[in-house]
Amino acid sequence: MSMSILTVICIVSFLLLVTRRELQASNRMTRSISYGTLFLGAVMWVYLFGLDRPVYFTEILTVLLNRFVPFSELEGGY
Amino acid sequence: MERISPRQLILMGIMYVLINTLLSVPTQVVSYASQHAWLSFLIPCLVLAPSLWLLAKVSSRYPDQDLFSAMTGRFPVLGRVLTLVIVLYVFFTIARDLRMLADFTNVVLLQQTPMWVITALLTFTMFLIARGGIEIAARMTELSAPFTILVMLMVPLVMVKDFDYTFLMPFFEFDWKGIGIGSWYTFSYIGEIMVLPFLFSHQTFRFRYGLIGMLGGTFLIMLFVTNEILILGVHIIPRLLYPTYELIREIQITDFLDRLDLPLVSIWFPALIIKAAYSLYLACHGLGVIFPSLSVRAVMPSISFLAYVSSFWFFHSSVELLAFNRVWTLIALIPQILIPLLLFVILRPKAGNSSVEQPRG
Repeated sequence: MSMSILTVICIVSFLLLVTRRELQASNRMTRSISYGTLFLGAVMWVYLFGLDRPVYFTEILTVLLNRFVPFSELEGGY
Repeated sequence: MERISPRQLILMGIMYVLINTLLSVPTQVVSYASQHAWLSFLIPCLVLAPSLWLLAKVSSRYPDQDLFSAMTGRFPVLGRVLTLVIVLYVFFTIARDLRMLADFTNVVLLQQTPMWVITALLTFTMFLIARGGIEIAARMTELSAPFTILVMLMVPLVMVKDFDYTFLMPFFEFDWKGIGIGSWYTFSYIGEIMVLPFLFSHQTFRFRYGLIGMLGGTFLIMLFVTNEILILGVHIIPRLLYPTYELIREIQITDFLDRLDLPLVSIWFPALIIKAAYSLYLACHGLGVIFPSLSVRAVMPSISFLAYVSSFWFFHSSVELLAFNRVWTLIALIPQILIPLLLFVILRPKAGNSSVEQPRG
């Protein structure tokens, strides 16, 4: 958990350092979306690497949409 | 206005169809369609061609704008919702391409390097290309795509002496159900070319360029998959995660050129990063159309970071990434079939107004 938080802090800090000037010069909308996206990414990272068994996005989609696929998973193939 | 030549546009189309379809999709297609796997690539191409025509037709109604701008200009709310759907779809393909490439690199080239380091390097490269703009990405395509195409045309010539034609037998006994399921798996990959009219205005994107790109990419993938069948056979391919790489490893030209796979991978590798860069540019451009005051260039690093994290969160493993193709086609039908149909029906300029003012992006 602590390692994942440390890693994401390093990556986000690097990104903020690189884009600092451009973000300061931009408007409020751009800053909000940029910081919001970075925050969302950081939360996702901690969730993903902090938990023993996180639920993956495609697992959710597969459960939701599996019944609409026009052929069975067990139908021939590999 | 971007300056993209027809040749660049056709090459971009070929890359959209070809470059990530090559890696693992043949595994699934051959497992269902066996010796007729090539047909499973042709059928989606024929189904998607009218859809591409619909988008080109809609684009011609707004000659000075790309489809994002045309949609939001004509229908401010619905247009933004449809733009968001396309942006989310494209964002998913970016995360998938990054993960696909990172997995491949981790399995084949850099086994000791942590995945997050490989993905970070790929994401950074993709970001730098996209930051330069679509013109830069198109020029880079002109460097990488011809080599990729040349290699794909050369490989069958080099390997023809090893072809085992019994793998194509029985040639006239078509298992249409298997071919249909194989087509389901390839559909979403070939249909990725549908994003081009959202990226370029009608002055740049014409139906014939898109069609040439789609047919060219489909022909090359059909050629390569048939080559894989003739060399590896229909029983081995479904057990390989990277059948195309295994095929390349079979190439031996004299004793000192027995590792020809590395130069060939080094040609294919940048092409896939450049393709991911178009998608990143498109996703950010779409956001710029949804929020007109947004600076696309400034928001690109954070979107890249989100794609980087999503590439881990979306897929548990490379096997799951491949298995998800089954469900993914269902989602891809929305931007590849439904949205073109909807736009064709509803998106027309107001009477007496051939072009709507383009939002800032």
